[in-house]
Amino acid sequence: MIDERSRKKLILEHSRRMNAADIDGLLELYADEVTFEDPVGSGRRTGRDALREHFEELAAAGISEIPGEPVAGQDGVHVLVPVTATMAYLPKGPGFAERGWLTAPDSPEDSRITWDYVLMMRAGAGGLIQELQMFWGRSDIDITG
Amino acid sequence: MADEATLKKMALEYARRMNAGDVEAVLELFSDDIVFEDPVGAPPLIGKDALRGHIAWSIECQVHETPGRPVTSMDGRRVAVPTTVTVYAPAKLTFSIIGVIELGDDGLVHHAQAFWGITDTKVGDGPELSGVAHFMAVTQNLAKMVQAKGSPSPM
Repeated sequence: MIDERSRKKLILEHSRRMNAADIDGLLELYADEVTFEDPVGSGRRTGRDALREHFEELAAAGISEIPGEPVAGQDGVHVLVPVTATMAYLPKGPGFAERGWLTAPDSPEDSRITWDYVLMMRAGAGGLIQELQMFWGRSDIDITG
Repeated sequence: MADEATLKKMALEYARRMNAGDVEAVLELFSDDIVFEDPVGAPPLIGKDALRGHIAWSIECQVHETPGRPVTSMDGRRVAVPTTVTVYAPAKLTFSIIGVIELGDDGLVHHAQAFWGITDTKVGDGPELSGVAHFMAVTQNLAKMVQAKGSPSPM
């Protein structure tokens, strides 16, 4: 069990390190047996190597997250936060387009992705994140020029 | 599977019907085997009859829900919505919650989770309390809400 304030600090610190492209710092927040799903419904992945690859792609796109107010579950483990984010279309965008999540823009190099999602984390022993889920659908993501 | 617009409408429709104070109209959104966790961490309510009591109680407490922007998922089933929930009786309490609901193939809600903590709860309109004082004020007011449950409505 981790108290509510510590869990809220954890999820905001996660955004801070994401925005700083501090991949090693991000991975320090995670347990070894982490599972993650981004977006929810796209399939669960496991392990720190897969997570590192995922974060490296987001960092390469220069992701910038603006977190809202986090909320904590009374189960001692969950914390959630609504996020508005933007990043370059490349390198992740073509993969999104392939899966039908968005329409590929005419000039990928000049395009950006903006989206809204809710981050949900489950933290375990030692305050490390055991599960990360990101809620967003096709209607929560957009291309801007 | 529901389309994303339907999922999002469902989250907003729940808030609309709660605000209208119509218990049966709220219950129409849920399946008979609904699992309802409010807050997540308390034992879930299972089934419509258990849920009816909870919804009726919330409406007796003059609940008002102001949903923010819903977001959905790629599974055609789940939607998450940050919401500000205020109850005005027996005392004013404001909760910042994130609700996650899951629809079945019948288009009804089968699982609902309201995530909110003691630190997401504000008492009255006064200055923000912190630490132990805040914790005590919230838990005393939540206890008052529970005591008011089932007692004749003052209205």
